[in-house]
Amino acid sequence: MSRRLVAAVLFTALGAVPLATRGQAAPQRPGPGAPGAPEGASAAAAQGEELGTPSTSSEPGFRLYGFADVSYRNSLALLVEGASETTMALFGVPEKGSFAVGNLNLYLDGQLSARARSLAEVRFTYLPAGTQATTSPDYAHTLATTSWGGIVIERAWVEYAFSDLVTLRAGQFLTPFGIWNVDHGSPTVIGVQKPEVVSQELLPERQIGLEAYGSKYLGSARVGYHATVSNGRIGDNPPFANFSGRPGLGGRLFVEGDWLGELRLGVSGYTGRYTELVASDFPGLSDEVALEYDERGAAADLRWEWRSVLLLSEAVYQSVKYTDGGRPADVPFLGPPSGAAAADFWRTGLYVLAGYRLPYHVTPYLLLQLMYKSTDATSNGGSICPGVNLRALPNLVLKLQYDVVRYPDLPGSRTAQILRGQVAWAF
Amino acid sequence: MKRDVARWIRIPSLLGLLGALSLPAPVRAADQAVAIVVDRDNPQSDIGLEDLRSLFLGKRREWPDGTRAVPIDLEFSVARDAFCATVLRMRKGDVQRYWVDQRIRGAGSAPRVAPSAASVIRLVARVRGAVGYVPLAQVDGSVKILTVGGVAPGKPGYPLLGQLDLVEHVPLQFHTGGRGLGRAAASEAALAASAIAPAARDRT
Repeated sequence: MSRRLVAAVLFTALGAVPLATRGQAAPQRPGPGAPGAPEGASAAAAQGEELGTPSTSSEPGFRLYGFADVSYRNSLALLVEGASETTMALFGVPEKGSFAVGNLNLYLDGQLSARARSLAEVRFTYLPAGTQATTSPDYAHTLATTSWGGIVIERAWVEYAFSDLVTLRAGQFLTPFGIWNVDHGSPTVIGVQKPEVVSQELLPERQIGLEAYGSKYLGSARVGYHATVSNGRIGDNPPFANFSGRPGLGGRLFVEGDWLGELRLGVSGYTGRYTELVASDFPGLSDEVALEYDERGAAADLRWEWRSVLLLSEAVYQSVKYTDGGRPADVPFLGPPSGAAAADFWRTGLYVLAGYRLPYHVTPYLLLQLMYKSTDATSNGGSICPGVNLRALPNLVLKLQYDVVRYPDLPGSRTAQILRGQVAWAF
Repeated sequence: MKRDVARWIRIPSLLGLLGALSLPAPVRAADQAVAIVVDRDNPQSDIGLEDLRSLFLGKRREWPDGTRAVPIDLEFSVARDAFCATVLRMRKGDVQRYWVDQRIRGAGSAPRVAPSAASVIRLVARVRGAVGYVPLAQVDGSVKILTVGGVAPGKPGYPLLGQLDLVEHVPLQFHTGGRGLGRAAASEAALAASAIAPAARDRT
């Protein structure tokens, strides 16, 4: 008897009770605030009458977030024999195992209206070189000295979205090319540090000016573009000056869709004139051109994710032609200046990163890099970098990477081995 | 004695499973359906899974009539599990990772999360362009329900079903690569389990 009772109760619990709760939608009735309801931006006002109701992501507001990383680097075999230890440390390859806070980036993200948004990102850094100002004691701690650093403006822009097809952005932005330059943050990128082809800035890392971008779905494919007009490459110039008088022009086209996994292909281009001035030694005379060249750059990128496989690749090309008045003296990477004028050159490079995601968000990967410069054999080389990326939490990443770098035409050992570890987190 | 205990456990479970299996399929679907709701001024009456995905991943930010879209997420729940698995094709953790990455890229922030279905409905009713998802049983007349791929919630073939077990079987993928779930393929046992402890599932 009792068994039947229990069975009946459980039967009810498992099968019949949901029947009773299976409600259909309530009959439609006029919504109190529906007609003329506000669009995005004025949502807050609509919500204001009801405390505890969450706001929407399009509501005007301000967000503060960022990311940081701590790295460990140890050169197991030096690439350039005889190079000074301080120089190698500045190149990010210290001879002795060293820890460093590589990035400490802060984002200030403002939603100005449903369609207007601003973003500023600054990086706090030890640069220039973490100088210890021993002559200036820390005023808050008697007799203590302090190391001072700087702040890099990574980007600062405001944008207005006219539609999905046209958003106009003004300010300083990361050049929209490839994958790594935009992914940008250490928790987001798979490897420990930028591939050389990105860090050597064959295309400018960032520009100041205007950017238009947008995308549209054509069937299952999303097609998009970026178009930029700017001061051009910043280089050693003040970022707020365009000494060449010509704009830097750039663009990017991409297409993405679900074809055998998720695939995104992109091509980018940039052209501009870079002019670097030095003040004349004589008061009243105009500045002198120290360096001036016309450059053209192109890049192609591929990102493919299929099941647990990830493949990223970028190839970048840059050609440089000096103007008659802006051709510098040839300064080789190693050795004394030859006294000859520098020749026009082109350079190119690529990387391929293949990863496989294992359970628990462990991603072993292999990064291959190649670099080539037409006029300097010592710049031609590459590296093989196996590594592991563990995304322990959505906002916490641990990485370990072993770089084997080889530049055959360099004097010395020609091969370097570097062990890199990194903890990166977003906050 | 042990046999008796085993029988005590087995018989009701089988009966319960039988009860679940005996329900007509459309009714089971209606029970679990997660409705896509928009404000009543939205001229849309239907939306595809891919369109929903692009809206909630920030790849598309406006409706076809040009109104700015305001997606609203529902706090962790069976409905959200179903939505992540079926529409976003991601696990919950992958969705978090996706938005961490998007923020670092400077591409925007995740949709705001409403704490309850009632809260989602209140917001959607009042914000032009808003879109949310809630259990069908909790929808009232203040919002408009969209069909998904031409199928109304509760009808056979409706793809958004709030069965938690779906999520547990999402294959490991990169955050934008998850596919493979498809629609309601949960076992009947999972259906039975889903009726036992919804509160516990909501906490997962």
